[in-house]
Amino acid sequence: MANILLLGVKVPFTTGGQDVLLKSLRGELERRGHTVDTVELPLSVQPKESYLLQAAHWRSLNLSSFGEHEVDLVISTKFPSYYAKHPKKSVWLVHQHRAIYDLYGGRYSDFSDDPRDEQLREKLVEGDKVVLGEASYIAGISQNVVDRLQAFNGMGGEVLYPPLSLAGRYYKDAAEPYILSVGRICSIKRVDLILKALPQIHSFVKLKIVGQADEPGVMDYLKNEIDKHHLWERVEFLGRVSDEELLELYAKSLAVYYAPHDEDYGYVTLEAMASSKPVITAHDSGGVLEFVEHEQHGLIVSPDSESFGKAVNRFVEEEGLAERLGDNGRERLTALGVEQSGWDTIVEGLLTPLRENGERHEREISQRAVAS
Amino acid sequence: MGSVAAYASEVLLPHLKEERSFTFELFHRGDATRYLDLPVYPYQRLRERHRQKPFDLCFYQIEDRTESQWVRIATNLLPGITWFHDLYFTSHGPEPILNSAWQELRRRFDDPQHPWPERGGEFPQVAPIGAREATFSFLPLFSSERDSSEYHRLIEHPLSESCRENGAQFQPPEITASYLPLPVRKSAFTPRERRDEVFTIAICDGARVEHRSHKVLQALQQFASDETLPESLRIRARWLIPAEDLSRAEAMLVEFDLPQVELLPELSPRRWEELVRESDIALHLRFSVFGQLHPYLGISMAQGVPVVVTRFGGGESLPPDLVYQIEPGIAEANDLHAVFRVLAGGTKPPHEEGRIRRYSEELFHEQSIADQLHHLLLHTGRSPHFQRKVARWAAFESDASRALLQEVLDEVHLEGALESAFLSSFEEVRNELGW
Repeated sequence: MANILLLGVKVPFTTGGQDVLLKSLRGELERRGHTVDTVELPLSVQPKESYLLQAAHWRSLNLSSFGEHEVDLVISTKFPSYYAKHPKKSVWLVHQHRAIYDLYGGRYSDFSDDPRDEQLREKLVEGDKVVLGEASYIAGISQNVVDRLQAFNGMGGEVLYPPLSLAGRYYKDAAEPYILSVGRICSIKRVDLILKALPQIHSFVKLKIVGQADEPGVMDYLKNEIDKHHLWERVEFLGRVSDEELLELYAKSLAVYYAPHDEDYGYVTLEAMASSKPVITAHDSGGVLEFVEHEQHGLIVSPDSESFGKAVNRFVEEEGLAERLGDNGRERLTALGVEQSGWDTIVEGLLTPLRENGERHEREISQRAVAS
Repeated sequence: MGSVAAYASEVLLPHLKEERSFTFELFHRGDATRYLDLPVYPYQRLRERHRQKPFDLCFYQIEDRTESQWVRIATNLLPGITWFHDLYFTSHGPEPILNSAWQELRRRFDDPQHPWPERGGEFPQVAPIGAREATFSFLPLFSSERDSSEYHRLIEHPLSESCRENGAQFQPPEITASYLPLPVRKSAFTPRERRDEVFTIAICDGARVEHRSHKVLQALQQFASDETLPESLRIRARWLIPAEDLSRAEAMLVEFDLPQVELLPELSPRRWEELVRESDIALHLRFSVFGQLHPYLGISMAQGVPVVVTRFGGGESLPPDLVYQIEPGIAEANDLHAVFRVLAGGTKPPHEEGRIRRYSEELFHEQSIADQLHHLLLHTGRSPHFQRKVARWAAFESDASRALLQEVLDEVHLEGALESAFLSSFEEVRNELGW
């Protein structure tokens, strides 16, 4: 059995998909008998120049051994954890630093046309090529992530969809008149669009928002919108909730709103489907569209409040629509096999570097195991 | 409606390729809408290709449409020759432009003693004109005469003044901006052979206030009910319109009760060429600082068809003995009606067809424009002025890289021995990753 380090990046005081992914992966590897630990370094998004420094921090770590434990494999996840150096490195890519790739030149990137920013962008792109290129195995958490890697860095990778951490516990209950939004609250997740749609939606329908703000000023902006449209009776910010509460919120929702801009993957999509709830999403929501088909498992509309409002009203007005699309989603999830049973494929993929030197490496590990 | 840049490239590239003086690589997808194509993907490909094997020069075309935004960003990141099809933009554009410190950067470019712009500072933009895009351009070209003179008035001279005021060592441009009109295809210069007895009015462009469609339709109403015209006169109006304005135009035809106006929702230079060939008059009205009349106006003039323009912007700079110029305002519809009546009545137009064609041939013929562009690219690219600019830009980038690394090192929160240990390991990483 191997000693494996999982490498993650932590933005302190926030939680996101990567936290779930690391926790689940660790559990699955341990269940298979490996010795696993997680190394996380904090990521500071400001100032952006410090990305070079933070990448260099990862690069300068010596991860070859700790005490009597030789590290057989490291598994990196998102930028800049894959800058870590190890002869056996797998990358399960959550995402790169998107502000220098697909988001560059738009409202979700803070890179300007200052030549210092251009130099920074180039250095990070070049750095990514080197450090990702040296990985023994690369996979992405979705086709969208792998496509970006191919387009921007000319590298291929397998697609390994992360299964749901609460698989088997999702259930369906009678729908109550509320729309559920789950996820970090920041501009790219576009929670504001569904909030601003409320005045057009039947007045008895409420919006429940699970998740915490992780962008300065975003809550002020949302609260201002609520004030402006007198929506306090219809919007509920629930912050972080327990697993049980989340399962219940999904189960009793009318539909789930999840329409980020070009999402990498989006657990929320699968959680909604597992709870037999339709998903309201947008044409440009990226990874969400790998699972949701329009009028089959949800409604895919233009990313604007008016379209989202109309979509919600359809679920209110067209009897049986929400239930039918929700049930279809549940069936699709089962057919895709990404709910729970996908872990064998994932672990097999990520452990590829251990098999690549053939039996020699496996023999070394077994000898060490015997000696210890 | 495709982009003007796509049209110009399609017409000119075959000529430039024939010359064999250049090899070209295109980084443009006029039909692109996905993130893979817009806004950064073509720029990144360009930059990467440039690093592998540097281009002698980058040639950009920019205009006021979404597809052009990545080019607008690129003009200040990897400067070259920029052909402006618009100088006025309806918005500042995406984030890197919205809050760009280009004025400060220009001062730093001119004077290495000038400090770099403050990090995280706010740099409000004065107006959404192409000042930023023209700032670092090694040679700005304009496809509209009006924009060329507006550039000199609004950008070149004020920039020079402001740099002098700030003590910067601003060097006046050695090569000044040039007017390079959009080309018109050779096929458009074939003289019309009008045999049709129906008086045909061709209307070009959208159905918004700036296109003066409300005035055109009012004039058509008057024309249709004009009892002074011979009873045998048959009239036809055909309106070539961008698809996005179709429903608006349909509503207007209902409002003005003009069901006989034929709407053709495929505005393109090819389609306009066909339409004008069968027409007796071409309307190119526009009363807005945004947008251009070309290449459609050039196509009409190439065929010698009587042309009506608004006496404003691009229309104003045309010789009045070649086109009808209509003043926008109260009398606009009456003036238009008067032109229709004169032409439909068989009166010989004051504008001589042959002269219009000759003027157009001299100015807009594809071969002529290709020759001028060829000359500009070849001679500018080889000129000592251009080479100096390229070298200065390379030095500016190295300077930016050093400034960036200094900023990174300023972020290190370590003391004494720890700091030196970290700096040496950072140095190792820099060497390894080529930073």
